[in-house]
Amino acid sequence: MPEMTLVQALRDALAVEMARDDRVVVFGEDVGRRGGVFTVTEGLQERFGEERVYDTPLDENGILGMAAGMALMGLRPVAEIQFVDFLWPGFDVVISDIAKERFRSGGQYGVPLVIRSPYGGGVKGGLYHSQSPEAIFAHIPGLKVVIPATPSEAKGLLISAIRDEDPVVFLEPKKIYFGIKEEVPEGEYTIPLGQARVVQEGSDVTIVSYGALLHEVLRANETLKQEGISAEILDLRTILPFDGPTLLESVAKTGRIVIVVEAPRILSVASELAAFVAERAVDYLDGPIVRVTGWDTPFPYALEPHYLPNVRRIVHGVRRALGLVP
Amino acid sequence: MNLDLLARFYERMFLIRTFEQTVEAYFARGQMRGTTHGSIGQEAIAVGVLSHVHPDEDFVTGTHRSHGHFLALTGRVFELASELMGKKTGVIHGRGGSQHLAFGNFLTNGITGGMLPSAVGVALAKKLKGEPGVVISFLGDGGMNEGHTLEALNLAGAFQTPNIFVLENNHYAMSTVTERVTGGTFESRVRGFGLPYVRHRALDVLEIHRLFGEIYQRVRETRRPVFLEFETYRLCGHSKSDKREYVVPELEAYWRENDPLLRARRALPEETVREIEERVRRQVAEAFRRAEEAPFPDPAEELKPRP
Repeated sequence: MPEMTLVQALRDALAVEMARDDRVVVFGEDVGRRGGVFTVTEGLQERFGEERVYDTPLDENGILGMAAGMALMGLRPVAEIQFVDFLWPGFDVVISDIAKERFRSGGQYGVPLVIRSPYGGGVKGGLYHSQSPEAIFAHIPGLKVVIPATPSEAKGLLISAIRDEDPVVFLEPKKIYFGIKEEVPEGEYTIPLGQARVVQEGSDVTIVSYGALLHEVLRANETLKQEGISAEILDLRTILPFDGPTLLESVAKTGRIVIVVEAPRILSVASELAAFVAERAVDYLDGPIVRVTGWDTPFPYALEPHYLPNVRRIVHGVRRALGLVP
Repeated sequence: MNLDLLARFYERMFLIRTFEQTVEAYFARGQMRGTTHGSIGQEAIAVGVLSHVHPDEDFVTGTHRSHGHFLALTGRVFELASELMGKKTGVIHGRGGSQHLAFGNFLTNGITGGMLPSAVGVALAKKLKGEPGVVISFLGDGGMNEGHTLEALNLAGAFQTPNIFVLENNHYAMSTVTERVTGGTFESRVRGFGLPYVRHRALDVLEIHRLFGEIYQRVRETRRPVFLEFETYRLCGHSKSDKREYVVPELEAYWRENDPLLRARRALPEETVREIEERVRRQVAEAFRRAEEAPFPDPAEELKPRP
């Protein structure tokens, strides 16, 4: 298996699906000739032509609207929003059309499309190039939300998202676009949506995360191991519909849970998972549900390292869950 | 004058108006709740324009004010009445109500101008797939000041898609006279995006039919977008709570006198008119009666938690 970065794996996924299915079209700002700001679509226009890989105006509303219309016509659009922070001018299309199409057609049809977009902090992007709005999308009925944490996941999940019959918001952790390499299966490789991955089995505490932060959790785990704490680490992968059974099974085993996300805390994915565990598994809990999250402020430029959960805060969260610190 | 064609069109126009008036009556009696947007006075456009559509090839997008478009296209009174009553037998099983219809290649939503970016996408897909047919999108004068409308016009101009934009300019954005809140003219905007622009005062359904027929054929052949503005008038409130305190008296007087429906009616033999009106009234009354008896959707079927 070839070694790939996350970006290479995403490119490979797009190429595999475009070669397999001529309904797949890719478009967005600078995705054609330039191959995208982060080079995810590099080489695709040369290979598949300007009709299937094309540049749009700077018009998020138009990009997402075109995606909705093309999906209505049986195509499989993969629309790129250059940074998810730029999506909001087109949010109306997402919430009013894309998310509601299956429901408001009385179930007659949906819009099978993917909105691909880099998200998250860790690249000194400041206020408008760093946000983690996954909970905002997850809050809208009718959308699926997917976030890969490794190159293999990026490929397998993106192919599944493209093949899904309903719209998927596919958020790419740009912090780890280039920094992590691993062997990625060749050809048509899929990972089913809605399934978490047990990254490491453990018995003392469950730690759930996704995206770039999963790697921070793995670093924190080195400290935990030295302290003799056995953590079960879950990579959520699909934010919605999230994998409830795997989560409950793990909590039933460990009795403790720490949820690590980089988004602001209030009404975050961590909040929803905490509520879910509290409703379904309170009898198994031996300690408080702990959330380690970003802060409830806009994303700060200079204070980024303090804003994002890091090893110290994750380890502290685990100690709180275990009742070792107040 | 082609009296047979006029009679056919009059029947559809009268069906739309009778439907809208019945809806008004249901609201007045408290038998329908929520809100609804009537198109009384604008029926000739829906009928004249959509008389050309190939339902399997073309795609039509509507607005929040689309009872007329739906009925002109499908004639399905029972399904529409059911939808407004929130019944399972509705166009989309009572999930949407008045403003949110989806039937075959016809789609609306409740956001002014909100369908237009999608409509360009549909047309672009037709172009990429080499499929025949055009996309006809209705919009209102209020929607002309929405960003997504202007963005859609730019995309249609940039990508040269087979879109026909049909602006029904009824002069009022809810209660605001649109001219008072519009910079420049619609024509200069549309031309600014490189789209051909045609304006027509929508008084005569046969004339609308003829004019739209020409544009429709042209777009089917050239696969390039056209923008058509109809001057029209809404002889009812914006929505059911609207007391119409804002109307411009001269406009109101002009359009009362020139109501396209009455104009068509006057041109037809009395006997024809009587037959049509009796038939339509029976049809509408029967559809509403059946809709009243129809069941509501089942909550256990419709509302499920996830995951």
